[in-house]
Amino acid sequence: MLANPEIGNLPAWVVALVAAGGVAAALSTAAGLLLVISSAISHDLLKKQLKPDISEKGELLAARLAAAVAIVIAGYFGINPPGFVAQVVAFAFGLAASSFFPVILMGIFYKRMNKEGAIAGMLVGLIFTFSYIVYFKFVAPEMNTPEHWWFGVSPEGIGTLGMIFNFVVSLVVCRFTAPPPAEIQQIVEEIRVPRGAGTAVDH
Amino acid sequence: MDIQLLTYLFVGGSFVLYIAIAIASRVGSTKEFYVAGGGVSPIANGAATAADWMSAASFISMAGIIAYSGYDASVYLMGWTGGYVLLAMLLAPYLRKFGKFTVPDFIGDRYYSNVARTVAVICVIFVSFTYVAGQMRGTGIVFARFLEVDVDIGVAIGMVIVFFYAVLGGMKGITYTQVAQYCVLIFAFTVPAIFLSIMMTGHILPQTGFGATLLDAAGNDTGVYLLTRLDQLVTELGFSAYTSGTKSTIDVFFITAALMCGTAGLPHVIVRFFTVPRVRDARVSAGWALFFIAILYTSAPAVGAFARVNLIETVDNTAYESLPQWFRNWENSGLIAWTDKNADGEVQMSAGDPFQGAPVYTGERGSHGERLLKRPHRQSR
Repeated sequence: MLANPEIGNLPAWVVALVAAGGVAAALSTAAGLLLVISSAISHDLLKKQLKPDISEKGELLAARLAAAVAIVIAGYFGINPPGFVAQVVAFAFGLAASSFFPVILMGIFYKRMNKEGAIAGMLVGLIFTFSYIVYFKFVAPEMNTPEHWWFGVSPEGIGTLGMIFNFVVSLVVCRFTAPPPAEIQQIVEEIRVPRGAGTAVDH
Repeated sequence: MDIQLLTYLFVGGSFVLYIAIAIASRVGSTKEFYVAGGGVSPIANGAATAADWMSAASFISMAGIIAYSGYDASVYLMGWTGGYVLLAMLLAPYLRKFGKFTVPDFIGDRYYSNVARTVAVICVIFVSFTYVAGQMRGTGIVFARFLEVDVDIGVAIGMVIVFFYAVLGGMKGITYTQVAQYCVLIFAFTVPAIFLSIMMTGHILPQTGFGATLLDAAGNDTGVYLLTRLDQLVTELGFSAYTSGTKSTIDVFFITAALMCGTAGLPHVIVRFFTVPRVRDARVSAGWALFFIAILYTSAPAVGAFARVNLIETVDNTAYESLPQWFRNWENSGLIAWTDKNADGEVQMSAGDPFQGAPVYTGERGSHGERLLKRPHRQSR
């Protein structure tokens, strides 16, 4: 895409525009991701667990600091990338599919899903997918051919298998452990009801 | 004005805009920092989601992958677009209704467990860093090529800019810069696409130009369809036809599914739906975002096909010395290379035996002035 205007001999200002566009596309996504990292650390680790009595100002400062540190680490990976842009991105999607998708989906639509199932599922999905990618991309790149892949699935597509494992493990585990508390089940019920709709009247 | 100066003006101008927005939307509370106070209008949120979600990969690599691998690359189009629909219909409105700040927050509360919350934080960090590494690299590549600096320095410049508006403005700053960035990137993607489409097929819309017949240099209709010509060109060179795939069916299915569910599970896209005031707005802004994304995604296959035809027709069987300037520009930023395998001083493109990864130069120039490669042929497995 970046070389396109030049290959096609387009006017100079179009070439310049494409440069600005490329930077915009990369920066917008990077910023969104960095914010997610910083809020996960300052809100979910610090505020909710390590230091619940932290002040509003303190949490905000922590969020900014976390964002700054995340940017430095991201820059390091940018300078020493583990692969081509699109390839690296495909791995990120695989990891997201295998770790988050099942727990979010079941969190909304399956009220019997409990914490044991969710935790086991996320861990299995993430660890399996991450190991598969690291193995074929970094530990033994010479093995990265269809003959060695499980079921002929390339590291780019392995997130789906990780996701299936995640679903299976969490469903099995939740069958053998206690159901979630009644108030959680109540909340899950309510999420799916449009706001403003009254509860059904008993005849 | 020359290209260099214009590029500095455009890129510099866009930075000034982003930083101005960041200063105007400084935040004072955590709610503003995490979810922009929950008061973003659905259209603005739609544009921000589109910019958030269309990464350097969509902009830089996608048309390129399509140009390079043709049919095989359609997994990215299908996966990313399909996943977005999945997210918008199935998950986003409900998550908004749950009313949390972050994805681990949702998981921690829904599964009433701090262990679950911590596991989710770990997942977020793994996913986000993997993804963000690609973005920073993308920024570096753009800088390297257009501002003629080292890729690493480009990455550093990108870091400074992001640092400025993410740390200062939090989600609020990011949201409104993303709206501006969406405008810049969509303009930057469609303008050249339209230019190329008019030049090559006479169609204004690249979406229709993709399925149209080619024009010759004088502007007369040749009666040959773009895709037919492309298949013919690549098959002549010994590659498999552009419109046929090389991946196995199961692999295509798995990659598409991974991209789809991954899209739906991406924490930075989900969190965008926490920034609108009401559940209804989450749905509306998902619709807008889909529209904004579709503008780019429906032009991408056409851009990829145009690029490949152009590249082959300009470069193949041309002496190195008479190659256009862009080839040397890209060679200097280390992203393209040429090995004179049969020593005739001309570039031939053909299948088989490409070098692996990025070209590594010896630092010397060959007899035609090309940069010499350290390992011009793929090492045998």
